[in-house]
Order: sequence, then structure tokens, then C-alpha cells
Amino acid sequence: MGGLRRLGARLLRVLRPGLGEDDLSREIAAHLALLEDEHRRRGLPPDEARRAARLALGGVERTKELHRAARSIPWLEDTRRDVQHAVRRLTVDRGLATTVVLTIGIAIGAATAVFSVVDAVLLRPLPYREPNRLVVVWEGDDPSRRPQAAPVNYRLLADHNQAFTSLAALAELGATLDAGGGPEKIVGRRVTAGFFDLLGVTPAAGRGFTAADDVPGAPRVVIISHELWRGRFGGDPAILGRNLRLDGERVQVVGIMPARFQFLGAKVELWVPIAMTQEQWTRGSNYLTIVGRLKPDVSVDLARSTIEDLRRRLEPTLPHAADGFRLTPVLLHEDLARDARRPLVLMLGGIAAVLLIGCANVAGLLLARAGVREPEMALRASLGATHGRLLRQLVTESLVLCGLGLAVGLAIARLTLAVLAQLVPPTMVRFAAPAIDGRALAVAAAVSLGCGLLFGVAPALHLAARGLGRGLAGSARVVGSAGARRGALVIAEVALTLVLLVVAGLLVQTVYQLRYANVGYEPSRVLSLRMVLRMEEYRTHAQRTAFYDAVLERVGRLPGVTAAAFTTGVPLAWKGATTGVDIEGRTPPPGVEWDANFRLVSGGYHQALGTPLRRGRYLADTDRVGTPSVVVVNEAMAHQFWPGLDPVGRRMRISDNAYSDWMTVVGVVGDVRQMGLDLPVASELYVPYRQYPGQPWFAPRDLVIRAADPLALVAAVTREIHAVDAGLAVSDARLLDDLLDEEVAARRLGTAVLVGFAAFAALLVVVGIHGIVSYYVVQHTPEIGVRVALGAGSRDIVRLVAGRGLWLAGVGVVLGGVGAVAAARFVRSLLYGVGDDDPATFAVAAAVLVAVSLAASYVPARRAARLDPVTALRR
Amino acid sequence: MKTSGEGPARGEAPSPDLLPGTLDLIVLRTLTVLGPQHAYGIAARIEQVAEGALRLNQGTLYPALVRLEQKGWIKGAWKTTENNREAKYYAVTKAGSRALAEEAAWWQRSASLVNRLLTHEGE
Repeated sequence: MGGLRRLGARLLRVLRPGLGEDDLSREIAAHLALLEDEHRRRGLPPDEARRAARLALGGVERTKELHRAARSIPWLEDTRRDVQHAVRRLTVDRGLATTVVLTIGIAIGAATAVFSVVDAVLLRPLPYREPNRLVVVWEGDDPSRRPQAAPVNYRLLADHNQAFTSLAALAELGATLDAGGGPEKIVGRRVTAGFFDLLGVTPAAGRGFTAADDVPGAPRVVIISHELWRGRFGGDPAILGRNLRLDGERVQVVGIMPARFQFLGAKVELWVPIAMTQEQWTRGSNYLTIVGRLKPDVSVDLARSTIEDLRRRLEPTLPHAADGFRLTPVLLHEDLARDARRPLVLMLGGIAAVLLIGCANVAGLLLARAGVREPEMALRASLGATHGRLLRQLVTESLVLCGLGLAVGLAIARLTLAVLAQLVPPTMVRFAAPAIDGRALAVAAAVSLGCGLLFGVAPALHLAARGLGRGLAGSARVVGSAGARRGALVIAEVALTLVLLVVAGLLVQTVYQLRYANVGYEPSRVLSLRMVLRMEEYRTHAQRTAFYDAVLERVGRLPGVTAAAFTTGVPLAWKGATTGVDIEGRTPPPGVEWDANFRLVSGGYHQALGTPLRRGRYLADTDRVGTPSVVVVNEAMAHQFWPGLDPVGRRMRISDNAYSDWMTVVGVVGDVRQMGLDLPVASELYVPYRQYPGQPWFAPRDLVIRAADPLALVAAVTREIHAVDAGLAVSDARLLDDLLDEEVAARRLGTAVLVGFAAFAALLVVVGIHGIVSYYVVQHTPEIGVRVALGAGSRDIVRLVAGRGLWLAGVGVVLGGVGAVAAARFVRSLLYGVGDDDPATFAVAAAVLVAVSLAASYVPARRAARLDPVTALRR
Repeated sequence: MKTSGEGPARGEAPSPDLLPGTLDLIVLRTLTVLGPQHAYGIAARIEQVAEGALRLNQGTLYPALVRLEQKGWIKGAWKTTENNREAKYYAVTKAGSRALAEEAAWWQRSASLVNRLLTHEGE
């Protein structure tokens, strides 16, 4: 009990060391007086008595020291004193302290924010049961584009499964939900009954699907997301058991998923049983996503090879060997994070470089100050401070700096996190929310502590190496050796900054190429809206054509509209369908099937999109049933099937369906990036929908409108559509520009972050070079004085001093060039439209750095040139 | 091992060192016997009782006094001595008396145990 009480008392004394000091002096004085009285009583003369009294006490100062040690906690009190001293020093060196704190703060802030994104996306486990055993199985050999699997292959895998404890399949579902507030398009998934069990996630309310739900003809049920439940139904628990209208059918809500549940889709709000018939399970078209849970002792590689064995066994027995049984399992986390991994690693590398540059800069500044402080340290050493004590003082100072930097950094991290959070892939956003949590705090604290120790120890070692005693005789000239170290630090800064500038430069060009240089059409002022015709009501081609014609007629009359057309899908929003093609007069090599992307469009589509015409003519509204069948192809198709020839007037046909009229090519249009901005353009044909009966499920559904002010038209266009069909859900109204922005958003953000890093690094280089050149001037003031006295002009002096900065920058640029080549090679897979060895980028980056260095050294160089030789020589 | 009564020789100090922690106990005990007393009085009393076997720098009393005061076992107050000098008098608190009883008992037990172990003849 007493021990605890005493600890409290001692801690109090650490904070208020002066408390009780007066009392103690008085007490000791009284003690001495009493002793003195006693000695005098024994007959000693007054002087002797006083001496004897002090002897008996054992020294006044020593007694006080003993008292202090007992009443307080000496090392803690020393630390407190060090901190106080450090803060006092920093308020004196306010400029330096601000620079250091901001440098460290920005670097730590950015590092913390980047780390928390990396943590959320790459490091933290996925929110499923034993997530590292979950795999997705894609069709074919290349899972990078996530090709979906055919039902027949899912059945085969499930029937012969050896590697998985369970398997489930999902199909996409774009449904129109009517919960009373008008039709609304909603993204859902059709899933096999075991899907939620496989993930190990149960609905937060209600039940999951049972095998009885997953049968054709079973009563229709739906499980909704927490987000839909809150957003659309106000979080009303009575929703369970209620019926909704989904695509016009009544379905009963049986479950609500937990908040933030998400699996492989961006905005999936509901799930229904897939309930496919036996016949549907034997189909070969690819629309299923397969997910599996690996058996405990099975690795994903082993699963891959068992599937390969299975393929070899099964293939001879399969009816259509053309598609074949080819499936590739990928770990779920790997699949989700695939597109984000490299950019995030790049960003980590970038921030590491910034941290290093920041550290080099701060170390340089503190080394310079260590030089300036040599006399102070020497004085303290001669007054009895030990080396350890001085080292502690220096480390404390830098820890105080880093502590302040940490505080600034956490504020910055908090501010930038919302922006960086956009780097989380859309398929992970609901659960992988980056946060400044304990882990991020630990990283930030560890980094700042590391910096603090480093910065404190470096100048201390510098002082120790120089020998404290000699410092007292110090003048500016004595502190020379710090200069060489700072030179090395600045060279390192320049080199790392060049690497950052080159990488950032390459990425900026990539974004520009993707977004502007290469899309193949004129995306500005083009609006697109989506509407999906209900199959039951638009069963015949005539019904559909009547709808499209009526809408186009009405929309075309709206003011400001220059072109309007329907298409099965605008570029990027819908990646497109492919179809087999026959080319008249040519046969494909054996074993090859010719195919091409395939779009049904109305006349005017290319005008609305702004696709350039290369040969022949565009499609027209006059291309309808009864006129000769025509088709327009893109340049890639012209090159693939009619190399060196003019395709206009030649014929081809679609070989997949019943439709097999020969179609005459009437025009060639420019290539359009449909599938992805960084994917090569495939052969593509545009068929007039009026001439192509097709299938109800492959009918045009996107309306594109080119107009002077397209966004102002949304309401009017929707009104016109509803005038034709009041029950049709109109969704996804947006500008093609926005669609493109969205497509490059993550890249653009990642690039912007790296550009920010590079700019910050360049700023640090300015500070670093300015500092070292100023220091050079101080150090060489007498020499400069001599030169001026001997007749050197101010231009000579500027050249001399700025040359020093330029020399450091030059060495840095050369070293950095080597690093930049390696870094550019590392980011090659992220580049598009620019080579990783692009000489212009390297040249510009180097030029920027040299210019920046020149500017930074010019100011101190001017100052040197204006030195008065008389004063300079006297120093 | 030296057999003379000097105890372990350490530096120039010929007097026996106190075992750590015992000084606090001795001060507490002295104050209990004498009643409120100032530091000099305590030192004089200890030297008198030890009959020269223990010589102490009187300054070393102060850490003990701080420790005891911080534990709440004694309390200091300024008073005047009979010779009309002012001095800080320390008095044992209630917690101090309790602590003394416990600590003294513990010491006696340990001391007698050590004593028994050192004097045991063996079979």
C-alpha cells in the first residue's frame, strides 16, 4: 500500500521538481545549527564547530542530492528536463523545427495512409470463414480477365470433385425491383443453395437458401443486402416474409445479409436461388462464376493439377470438344486484389522513397545544427555532463521533433485517407475500409520512433567522433566533416527523387493515353441511358423495333439533340458479345474459329458516338427489313479478314445462330476501345438491329444521345421513354466522359498520389540543396572574400557556389538514372502507350531536377556574390 | 571469510553497513520510542543506541525520511526546540505504527530463522 502511495508521490515530484526544495534547505540548515550547537557545547571554537557539523552531516549538496533521488525518480526527471530543454531549443530554432516537423509529418502521414490502404486490401483477411481456403474458378487458362465458366463445366467439376469440400456457382442478375416506388434497376446474383454456407456467412436476419429453394418451380425467395434493407426499406424488420416484385414476379424476402457483406461484385444488393433445370446445367455458354472451398490439406496448385487430370480423363468423352473442360482455380484474395496489388506496391515503394528522402533531408539539417552546436556541447561536457547524458539530450530532442511530426502525420493521414480509400477495388469496398486503426498507429509510431533515434544518434556520433573537447575552440571552419556527409545525403535525395519523377512521368502519360489519346470516339457531350426491355412484353422483333423507333423519333425532336441511337451496349459499360463469323471466299485455317465482337445498333450510332468513318458509309435508318443486309466493320476487322483489301462490297455472315444471310460490308469505321482502355481492340461488327431479328435477350438496351447540353436532357429523355412505355426502368444515365473517368479513376488517383510524392520529394531537394549550398557559403566565406579581393566578379562567385549545388545534383541524377531504369521496368505492366525506356520522360525528369537544384543554389550564390570582402576576410 | 568482528570490508568504511531497508525500520522504531523528533535527534539517538558500532553520515537519514513520509508512515511538522531553534519534527502516523509492527515481526522471524540456520549443529 505504502509502496503505491510513494510511487504517486515520486511521480508528482517528477512533474514538479521544485516542490519541497525550500523546505529541505531549511531543514538542513536547522540540522546543521543543531549539530553546531552540540559541537560548541563540547567546547569547540565556532569555526571548528561549523566544520565538524558539516562533516557529520556528510556535505550539504550531497545530502540534498540524496534527498532528491529518494523523493523523485531521477531518470524520469532527467528525461522531463531534457524534453523541456528540447522544446526550449526548438522554439529558438523555429524555422528548422517547422521544416523538420513538416517534412517528417507529411512523410509519416502519407506512409500511414498508404499503409492502411495496403493493410485493408492486401493484408487483412477477407470477412469469410477460413478465407485463405476460398478460391474462384475461372474458365480457360488465363484468369486475369476473369472469364466465366459454362454450367456444363461446373456440373462436371462438382460431379468429379476431389480438391474441394464444397463448390457453389453464381450467375449475374440484372433485375427490375418494384417495391412500391416505381421500377428500379438492381444488381443481384443467382446462387446455388450452398453459396452462403460455403463462405461461412449466415444472414443477419431470417434464413439462408435451402436445397428446396434451389429447384426450378420452387416458390421464389430472395435474400437482400443490409445496405438495400437500410436504404430502400428503412431498416424495417417486418420486411422478412414480405413479397417484393422482381422483374414483375412476386418473390418473398427470407433473409437479410449482415452489413458490409460483399462477394466479388461491386453493388450486389440481392441474391436469389439459381434454380436451373437439368437442361440448363448442360449448356456451354459461359456465364457462371464458380467458387470453391479447398480441402484443408489441398493447395491451390494441387487443385489446379487435379482439375488438369480431370480434364485429361474427361475430354475424350465430352460431346463438344471445341470449348473443352478448362478451368483455373485462383485464391479468392489474390483474385480480388490482383488489379490493386501492383499499384499499391508501387505506392509503398514511392512512399518509402519519400520517407528516405525526408530522413536524408532532416538528417542533413540536424547534422548542420550539430556542427553549430559543437561549442554548446563542449561547454556542457566540460561542466561535467557525460557522453551518455549528451547523447540522451540529442536523442530526446530528435524524439520530440519526431513526436510532433507523428502528430502532424496522423492528422494528414486522417485527411488523405478518404481520398486514398478510392484505391480499394470496387469488389472490396464494403468490407475493406482503410482506417487509422491500431495497426496503422503502430506503424506510424514505429516509423517516427525509428526516425527519432536515427536523427538523434547520427549527430551525436558526429559529435563524439569529433571529440567534444576541441569544439570549444570552434569557429565555422571546424565543422567541416558534417559537410561531406550532407553532400552524400543530398546526392541520395536527388537520385531517389529522379526515380520518383520518372515513374510518375510515365504514369501520367499512361493515364493521358488511356483517357484521351486512344478511345476511338468523341466522348464529350454524349449521354447514355440504359433500359432493358422485358422479354414477355417484347417477344417479337416487330414489337421491339416499334419501341426503339418511337423513342428515337421522340428523343430526336428534343432541342439540342444532334444524334441519338440505340446499341446493345456503349463502350466499356458493356464489354460486348462475340459471335462466330464466316467470310465469303475465305476459310479459316484448320482448328481455328473466326469470331468478332458483335453489336446491334440503330443508324446514327456512329455519329452519336463520334466514331470516324474510314471507308464507305455509316449505317442508316434506311437499312431495314426488305433492303439488302448490310454491316459495318471496324479497322481491326478489316485488317484481320481482308488484309490489304478494301472490305467495302465484300460479304460475310454470322455463323452462330439461325441467321445466316450474307451481309455486305458497306463501311469501315475507326477502332473503339470497348473491352477496356488498355486492351487491344478486337475485330468488331456493327449490325443494324432493324435487319436482325435476333433474340429478345440480345436486344439493344443503351440509348446514346449527342447533344449540346446532354445532362440537362436526362429528365426530358426519361419522360419521352415513359411516354412510350411507362413501366420501363431507366437507369445509368451518365456521360460517356464520366464513364471514361470512372474507368481510369483508380489509375488517375494512384498517379496523382505518385506525382504528389515526386513533387514533395523535389521540394525536399530544394530545401536540401539550398541548405548545403548556404552552408558551403558560410564555410568558405574567407575564401570567397579572398577571391573577391583578388578581383573575382559576382558572376564568378555565383558560378563557383551554384556549381557546388549543380555538381551534387549531377551526381544524383546519374545515380538516380540507374535506379529509374530499374523502377521503370518494374512498373512496365502498369504502362500503356509509353515505353518504360521513354527517353523524353527521363530527359524531362533530369532537366526538372537540374533546374530545381540550380534555383535552390542560386539564392545562396547571390548572397555569396554580395559578400563584402573586408567583412568576409575578418571572420 | 574473515573471522574478526569487522564484517565484510568495503572501502575505507570500518563500520558495518546496514542491510538495505533496515534504516527505514530503525528510524521508524526510534521515532516510536522517542515520540516526535527532528532528523538530528534521530541521528543522535541511533548513534547512542548503537554505542559507536554504527557510524552514519547524518545526511543519509534524509532519503529514509523521504521514503517514510511518502509512504505515509511518518509526518513532518515545523516546531521549535527547547533551545529555541526551529526544526522539522517527525511523528509516526497510525499507518506507520501498523507498518512498524508488521515489519518488525517480519524482521524478527527472518533474523531468528537466519540465526537458527547459522547456529544449527547438524547430526
